Amino acid sequence: MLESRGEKTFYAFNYVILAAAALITLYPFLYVLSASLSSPKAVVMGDVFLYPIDITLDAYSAVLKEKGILTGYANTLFYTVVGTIVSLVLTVCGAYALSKKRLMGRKLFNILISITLVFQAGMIPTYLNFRELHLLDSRLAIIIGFAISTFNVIILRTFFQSIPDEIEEAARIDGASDFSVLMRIVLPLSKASLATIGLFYAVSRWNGYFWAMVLLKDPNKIPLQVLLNRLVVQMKPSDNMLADSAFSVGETLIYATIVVAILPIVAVYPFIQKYFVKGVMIGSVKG
Amino acid sequence: MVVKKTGALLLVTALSVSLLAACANNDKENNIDSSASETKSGAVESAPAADAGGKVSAEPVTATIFYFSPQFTITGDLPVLKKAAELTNVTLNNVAPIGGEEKQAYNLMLASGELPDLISYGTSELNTVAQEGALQPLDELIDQYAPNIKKFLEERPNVKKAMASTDGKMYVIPYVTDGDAKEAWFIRQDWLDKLSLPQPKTVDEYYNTLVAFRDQDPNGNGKKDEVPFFSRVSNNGVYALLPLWDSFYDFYIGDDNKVHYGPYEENYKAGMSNIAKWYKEGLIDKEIFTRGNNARDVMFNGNLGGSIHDWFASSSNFNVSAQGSVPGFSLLPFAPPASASGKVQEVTKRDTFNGRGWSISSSAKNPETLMKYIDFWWSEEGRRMFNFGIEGETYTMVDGKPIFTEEVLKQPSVVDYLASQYGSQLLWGAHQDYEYEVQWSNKVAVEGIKMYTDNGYINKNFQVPPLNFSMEAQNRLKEILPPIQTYVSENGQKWVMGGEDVDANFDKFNKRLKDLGIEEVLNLYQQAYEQYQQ
Amino acid sequence: MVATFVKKIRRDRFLYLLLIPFLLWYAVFMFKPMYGLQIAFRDYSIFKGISDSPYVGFHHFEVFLQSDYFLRVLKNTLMISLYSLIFAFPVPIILALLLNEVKNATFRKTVQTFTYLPHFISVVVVCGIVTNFLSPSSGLLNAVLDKLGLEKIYFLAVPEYFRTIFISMNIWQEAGFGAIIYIAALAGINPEQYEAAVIDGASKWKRVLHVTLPGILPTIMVMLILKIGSLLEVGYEAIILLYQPATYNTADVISTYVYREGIMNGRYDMATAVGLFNAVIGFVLIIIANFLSKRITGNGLW
Repeated sequence: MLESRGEKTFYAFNYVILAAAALITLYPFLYVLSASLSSPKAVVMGDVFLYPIDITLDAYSAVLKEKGILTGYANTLFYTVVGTIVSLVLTVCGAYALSKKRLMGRKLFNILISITLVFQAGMIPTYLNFRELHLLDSRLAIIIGFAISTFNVIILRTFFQSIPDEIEEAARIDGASDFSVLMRIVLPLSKASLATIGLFYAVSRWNGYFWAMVLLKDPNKIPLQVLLNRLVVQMKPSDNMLADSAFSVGETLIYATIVVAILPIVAVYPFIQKYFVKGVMIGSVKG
Repeated sequence: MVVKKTGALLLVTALSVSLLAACANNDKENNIDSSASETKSGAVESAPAADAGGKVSAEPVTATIFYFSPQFTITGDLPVLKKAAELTNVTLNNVAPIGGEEKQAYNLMLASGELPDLISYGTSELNTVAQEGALQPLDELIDQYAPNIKKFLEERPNVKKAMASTDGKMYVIPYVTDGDAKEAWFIRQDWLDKLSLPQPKTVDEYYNTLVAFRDQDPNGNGKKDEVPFFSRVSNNGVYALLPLWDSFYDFYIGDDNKVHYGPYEENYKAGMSNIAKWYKEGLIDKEIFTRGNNARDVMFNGNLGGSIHDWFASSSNFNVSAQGSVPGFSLLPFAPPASASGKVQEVTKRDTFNGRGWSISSSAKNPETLMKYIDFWWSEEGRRMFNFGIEGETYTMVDGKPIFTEEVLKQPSVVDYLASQYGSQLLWGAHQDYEYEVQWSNKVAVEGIKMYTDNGYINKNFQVPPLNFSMEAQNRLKEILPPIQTYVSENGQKWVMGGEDVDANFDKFNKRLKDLGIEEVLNLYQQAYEQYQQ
Repeated sequence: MVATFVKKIRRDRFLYLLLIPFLLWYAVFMFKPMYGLQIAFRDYSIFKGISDSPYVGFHHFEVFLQSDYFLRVLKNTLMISLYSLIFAFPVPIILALLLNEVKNATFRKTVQTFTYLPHFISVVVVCGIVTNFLSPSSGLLNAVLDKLGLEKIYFLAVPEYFRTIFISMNIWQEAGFGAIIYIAALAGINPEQYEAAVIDGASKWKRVLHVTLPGILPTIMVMLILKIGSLLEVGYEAIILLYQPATYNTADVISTYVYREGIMNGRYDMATAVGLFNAVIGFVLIIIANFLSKRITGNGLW
């Protein structure tokens, strides 16, 4: 493929723009990382800009010494891994079934789930619902209670729908059932979209702390984020001062908390990038 | 075919397992509930009232309590609470969730319909929910089972008055503070010395001092970067200056013993136009609205800040913590500058109640025992444990007075340390002991407090006491007060930053307040205030 | 009639089997608690519970719609959403397209990873960074202005700048993560279609227009419909951290208003009423957007 000169300039331009975008978006993370390794005073004074000042590991040791942090990590891992699997299974169920135009009642079901995009029951009724189901203070609540995101279902369904019909027809001619079409054709061709939806669920579960905090009481069940959130609570500006706060909180503690909390999930993406490879469809039509 | 069947089977199994697990959970819950009610001691009637060392209940009892702390895990195992359990035979089981927001946790607890025996929360919310039947009235319980509290209330009748709910009964045992001082005017003494200036005594002298700070380079770096006045309270810290012109930014009790709303008064005009003037002239931190919680750390360590109006203890501590960055740093409390009308007063005062307390829920099965348990904390020993911790571990008795150990005093935050590690200094209904604060307060703070107290600077009748509004009044206030407050804060910032001329627009502002219903609000406040005074 | 009904179910029995746990989940966890939406029509007392709270009809809706601030917060919410639609929506798409054209795999993967990082940094920290960046005394932007001889600006106190600041921050934080969907969609385009286009002599620009964009059009349309449906749902967390009374005029949106007057006052009934109001309008918007999308592009939510 020969490129015109216009195309060559475009490529160069592209590199520049993307490099700039990458640097701008990398900055907040660099800042957080630097701040977590600096002395609190330097951070508060605003001296820290790009790299750590007065390097110290105090913040990290404080975070890692926090009671229950190992249990928290273990719980988070559990909720994320098991939760993502459950979410993926349920989402694939719905997305695949609803992607078939011949399914009777399809429109109705699609409308029903779309309703949940805008209509939500509210915090208290949702809480009461868990209570009625006897799911308070149970790991199951976290795994199943928030398993499906309608947004993800719709996205996955859209991806499934974009698989050319000829492929499925060819398989049917060979006598394949819906089940084998799903397992042998659709899923393998959907690696990129499954990876995407899987990532979304994993991120949401890893970061999720609100409902874990509301529903779980047993300290052995709570995930990392709930524990760490307590450390960060100080950073939110408070409207009134009911009591004198004698000393400013170790600012750097907050940053170390963030790094500890997000490092594992951030590291996941590079591993799944291999699924976002072009040409997943090659050979499927002919074969 | 097999795979397909297995797949379907798996799904069904998963669902069934979850349902079974849910049922198992249910059984566990039931067991806990029944064991709690089992321990209701039938022998309560004859148990002795709690006094130093007396057991509150014949058999060991577990009481559930809702006590939410955003930062710490407060459980019945903490040393002070454990010791209290040994002395009273009542162990606490905290059912509040561990993270998140208190208001949410409290609301969810109410929504669940399962109230723990004891609830620790804000007094006005507790009084409100008491009217809906969630709590038990305490008057008779106090009379029969709480001799220490009873005695305290007899000595301080206004506590009972303030704590009574709108039906006249008492439902909350409040946290009662000790000591009057809250905030003070602070100034950089080292800068005053450098510029050979005295401490300002009037608002005009204060103005001149701030101008000098701005122009005469007291931090000696050749740049005009000094910030004469600043605040760490972003949304309304700048209005701390209003009393200098006999004005205020919120509700207060005037000299006529009536409730007033600062922005609705005539003096607000002079106050705001002067603040706008000072802001324009660079005497007030230009970024006062966004500086944030760390303002003092930044300003003092950077040797940029000149004067503030803030809490005694934490501000005085900068004399120690900023020495490293600014040798010779000296931030001293000084007498409130005389206002435009010549008044010398400090309008902030430590609230008698910090707004927190605890109640006995209506579903508690053994209120007598619980009342005695609460009373324990008001006995001499209980009060000492509450304020100081465990003898021998956190304090020792010296000449009959409890003195903190070195270990405790060297903590960056004594209060946090005691609360999280020992379980004392919790925010429930008990009586604080000012002595404990003195011990960890900076010398500058202690002397400053003494100066303010001895000279009578603190106006004890300025702040509006905690009032109890009827349900209708509350609902009405919830509807009309927020728009008024939004309007005032929006307008205020516009005026301060020079977006609009104060004098030209004051009448329009005043009329708008009237249209928004400020008179009705004042009436409601006045009624509640009069009821409070009866 | 019944015969075809049964025949269809028989033919698609596997699909219906799949739908059972799926729909069951929705019934139990999503639809069942929706009875709680009636809180919007009651004078709700948390302790008394929903059924014991007195019924007040549309009172909360009236109070909200008749409030002096209603028009303002509605306008601000719509303006911010529209700005977001015009400026923020295309960015992840463009980013994905640009990344698609990068031949060097390492560069592409690195850029992808960097751009999606800000999504994970909590909004409190991001707003802190933005506040510092815009600070008149110590911020980078004003330092640059100063060097250029221009006057310093207290950005966060000027109403006219608020939308720009907020949307820019939003793009900065979310564009990279948002691009992932489009990157996945791009991976699903058959490369043979590109080859065919090249053989036909199409330039790069024409290839993008006729192969790439149509290839990801379903995804774009679905995302667009969802975005339109959330027109009134501008979140309050970031705005609370950035706005000032001085900028309420452009910054105060429905959610911040509800936060101040509803949540902070414990008035769940009012908050639920406003939420219901938003939801109804949002759904109407979705219906319209969906209809148009199906007409014009053949893609939709149902």
